[in-house]
Formats: sequence, structure tokens, C-alpha cells
Amino acid sequence: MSRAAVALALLIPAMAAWPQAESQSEAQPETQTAFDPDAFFSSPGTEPGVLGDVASPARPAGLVFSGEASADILYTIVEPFDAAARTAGYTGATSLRLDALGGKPDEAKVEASVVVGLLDGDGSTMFLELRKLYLSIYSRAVDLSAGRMIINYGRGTVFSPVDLFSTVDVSDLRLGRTGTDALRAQLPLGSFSGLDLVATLGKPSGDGIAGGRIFGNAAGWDFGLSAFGAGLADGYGDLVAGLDFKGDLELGLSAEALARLPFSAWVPDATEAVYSLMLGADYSIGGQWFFDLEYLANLRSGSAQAVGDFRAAHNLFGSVSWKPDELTALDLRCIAAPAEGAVRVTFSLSRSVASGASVAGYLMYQGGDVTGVSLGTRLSVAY
Amino acid sequence: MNMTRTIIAALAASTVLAAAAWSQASLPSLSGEEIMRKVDANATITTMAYVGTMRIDLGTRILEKEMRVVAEGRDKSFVEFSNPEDRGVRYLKVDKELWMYFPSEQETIKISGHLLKEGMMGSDVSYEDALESGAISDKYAISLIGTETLDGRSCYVLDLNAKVRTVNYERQKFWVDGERFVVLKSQMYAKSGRLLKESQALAVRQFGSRWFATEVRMEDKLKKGGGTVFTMKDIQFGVTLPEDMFSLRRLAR
Repeated sequence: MSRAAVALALLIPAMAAWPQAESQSEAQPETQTAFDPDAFFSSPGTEPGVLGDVASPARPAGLVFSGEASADILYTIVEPFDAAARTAGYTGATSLRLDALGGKPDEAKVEASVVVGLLDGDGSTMFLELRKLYLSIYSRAVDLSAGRMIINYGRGTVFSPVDLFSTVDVSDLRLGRTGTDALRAQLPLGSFSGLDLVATLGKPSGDGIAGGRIFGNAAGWDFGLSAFGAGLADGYGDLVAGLDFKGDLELGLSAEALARLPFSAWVPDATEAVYSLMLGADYSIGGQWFFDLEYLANLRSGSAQAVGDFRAAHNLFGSVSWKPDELTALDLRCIAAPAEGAVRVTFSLSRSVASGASVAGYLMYQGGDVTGVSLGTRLSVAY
Repeated sequence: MNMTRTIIAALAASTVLAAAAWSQASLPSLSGEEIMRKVDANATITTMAYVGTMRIDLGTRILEKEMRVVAEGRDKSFVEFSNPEDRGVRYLKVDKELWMYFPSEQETIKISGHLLKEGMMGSDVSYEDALESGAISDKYAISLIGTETLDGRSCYVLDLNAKVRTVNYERQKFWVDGERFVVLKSQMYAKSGRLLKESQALAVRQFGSRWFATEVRMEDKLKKGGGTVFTMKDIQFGVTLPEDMFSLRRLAR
């Protein structure tokens, strides 16, 4: 996505509405005309667009289909430093993602995203992943959604203990998220604040998560407060309470704090409480260099595990990206749990070779219980 | 013969100069502040909606974008992209704050301050340009430094020097159409005097009693590429917007 495009789009109204000086009395009065956002966003323009005789609508009537096809070839060496245990082999993966979107912003929305793929290694394996399939109905008081959706609360790029529903997939080069089956009600409390109530669907009561999050913006900082019961329906689960915020002091700053308090027969057990704290910072230089650093600490008072996929006492994430132009990106990122000797390093170079098409080469190293090195290449085309 | 040619050339030159002088002299005598007030009066909007198209010249490739934009004054805007590569990506700007929505991850993020400062991904514009707010006259000392003819239009040339530290550019220069009071060209300078950026109005249209630049080229002079041309189409002024138009709720819908 071009940030340049956005900047200009935002700039134009600013230029148009040039300085609001002390001349309001000279301003031309405007006659107010009715405006239908649904019609504005869903109808084509009347003048030529960049792709056709008329500008395409942002949200056309009916379902809009898009997606991406990608092919990976990966050469992996397991235990590269142990001659006796060393193995190596090629893996191929071809996948097709199909997205569908329909609806109107003042009425309802349906969205789906499914990935079908074929893994080739020793044999061939097909896989199907339903990332999203949900329906939302909008009203003045509440927005209701049901189905498989991504519920994204995290402030961190990788470490987000408050993300109970859709955690980041670190094996994905793009750090994507997976959907969760849920019923969701979002109630607005202001332009930048609201209450978000969520309950997972289709899980046994012992595994279900239900609760809410209130969010807002104060002094330029986004914040959220959440409280969820995880498997608490039968009195033997956890109460998970969190706080998160994101803002900036030149440096982009984010933080999350989470407490997991186990319950037994509805009685809290403080001796088994687990506390997680995430601190993150991001910065960029010259519009070409981007830095991201995160630290996650899990403090356990008993034997209970921390929430999420990163359960070590100390976890680190760092990334450096160099984007010399709009079409090229070189990324180096590292996720580590130093005390456990676990580390995952990914180095990738990608280049957009045509509109919607890109080629990437990547090198992954994983150290820990099993050591492995993978060298891969990916070709992807969006349509 | 040579003498005759010289006389004819001199007469022709003096005629052109006289015409130019007449043209420039025909502009009413106004101060820099008065000119900016007229620009402001011409350009002040309550609300507007339009279809925007973008042509970004990267030097080796042209990127084309299409979007719907709704704005209230210069402090609130909502952008939704409609070209296939970026369909559904949205931006919400309110005062100095900016949020972005990524439909694939159903994620709303607040854009960090350091990103507002930087030039953006080989582009010609920074977020800070977009988020500039407040009255120019509060932040810059405005002086009229002359008149020039730009693309056949007589223009006032204004020099703006920063009065406060919280400005994106230490100095700016505006060419203001003397008849329509539209900024036809602007240049942004660093403290060192180096030219950083330049914008030029490529098309100006009349809407009722107001004149409006509907096509603008922005060029970052420190970067390669041929700049970015932004075009506004299907413009509606004075539209009545929903109460929650500029909200995080609508951004994520």
C-alpha cells in the first residue's frame, strides 16, 4: 500500500481548505446537500478513473472477489551442524487465497477468505484454511458480527499478550493472523472509543472465552482495558485482565500488561497467577529504514503457563527493514527466548516485479530443540 | 537591414514587456495578508466528497491509485481505496492524528509520530504535509515579493517565513492566481534554503462562485521519479455527513 497515495489524498482537502485565517466573513456560504455514504462508496464515478472509463466503486454492489496465488520452493536442512543427524530436502507449496467482500457500511457486511493449497515433499498434501467467514449487521447502537473473524487487539507486532483470539503466525513471512469463531457486539461510546464484547463459538465451555474490552483515545494515545473469562463457564478457568496502549514521543511506543488468574470452583488461586508485560518501540529514519523492538516478560508465581504462544520468562523480538524504494524491501527479523536458547531468524528480500506481482527470496534459521535452516523463494500474484 | 531587424526586435520585445507589465500592473495592489485572506475565502470548505485518482511516477514504474475521499474542513478526512491492489484500505485523519485500517487483518493502527515526519516509501509527500493544520498566517510572516506570469496567469508571489518552530518548512513561496485567488504553485524550502518540494496546480475549475485546483502535481526535489499527480473528480461541496463519519467505528466497517 502506498503511503504516498494516502498522504496526497489527505493533503488535497487540506490544500483546498487553505489556511483558515481570520477571513471567515469572506467565505462563500455553502448550501448543504444530502449525502448517502453507502451510495458514495458503492457507486462508480461519472468521470474517468485510472482503470477504466469511470472510477471503480470502493464497495461495489454484490460480492467483490480478490485474492492471491503464490508458489514457494523451499530447501531445508535439519540439524545442519550435526553430520550424523543431518537431513535435507526440497518442499514445494502452492496456494490460492480467495477473498470475497460484500455489503454496505450503513447496513451489513459479509466477508470471507479461504486458502487452498498443495504441499509437495515426500508426498503431496492438500490443505484448506478458512481464515474468515463472518456476517456483520450494523445499527446505530451496536454492530453485531458472527462467524470466523480476526479479532485484533494487540499493540505489538509479534508479542501481544492481550490478543487472546487471533495471535500472530510467526511462520508467516507477513506475520498474518488466523481467524477465530466468535460472536461479537461492538458498541460505540464516542468517535474514538467503544465497548467490544466477544464470546467464542463452537468450543466446549471449558475452552470458551468471553468478555469485553473498552477502548479509547486520550491525549493522542490509544488505550484499551480488557477482561475475559477463559474456560470460566464451569468455574475452573482463568480470569484474564489486560491493559494496552499505543502512542508516540517521536518514537512509536506500545505496551501491554496482562494478568492471568486461575479459578478453581469459582475461587481465585493467586498462587498460580501469571503476569505478562510487553514493551515495544518502533522508529524510522529517512523513510527507508524501519526498526521495531519488543520485549515480553512472563512472571509466574506457580506452575500455570503464560497466555499466548510465547511462554518463556523473557522473549525478544527485533526487526530491521530497508525499503530503498516503493518496490523493494529487505527485512531481517529475530524472535528469541535467550534463556531457553530458542531463536528464529528470518531474512528476506522482496521486489515487486509488476502490478500485483512480487518475487521474494528468504532464509530462515531456527535454533532450539531442533536446529534447521531453510532457503526459499516465493512468487506471488494478487488478482 | 540589420538595423531594421534590430528595431523590429526591440519593438517586439518592448511590446511583450509592456504587455507583461500591463498584465502585472493590472493586479490590484494588495498586501500578502490580504491575498491570503482572499485565497482562504475562496477555498474555505465546510464539507466535501470526491473521487480521487493518483498517478505516482517512481521513475521505473507508474503506480495508479483510486480512492473515495470525504473531508470536513481541513482537519478531518476519510479515505477509502478502490483500486484492486489496495481495495478496502482506509485512513482516518482527525486533527493531527491518523489511523489506518487494513482489511486483510481487520486491524486498525495508529500511525506513529516518526512516520509522520519521514518521507514515505519513495513518495513525494510526507504525512506531516497532510496533517498540517491551523492558519498559515499564525505560523508564517507573509510578504508580497512581486508579481509573475505563470502559464499565462498573472500571479502574486508571496514569501512565507516561519514565525514558529512547529512548522514543516522554514520557508514557503506561493504563486497565487491574481484573478481567481487559487495557489497555482508552491515551493517548500529547508532552513538552509534548499528547495525540498514543489507543487503545481495543473487544472483549476469553477464551482459556483469558487475556484478550485482539481489536479495537483507534487514533487519531492530530493528524490528520484517524476512526482505524483493527484486528480479530484465528481466533487461535491457542502454535503451533510453522518455524525460518525470520522470515527474509528466507521473506519473498521
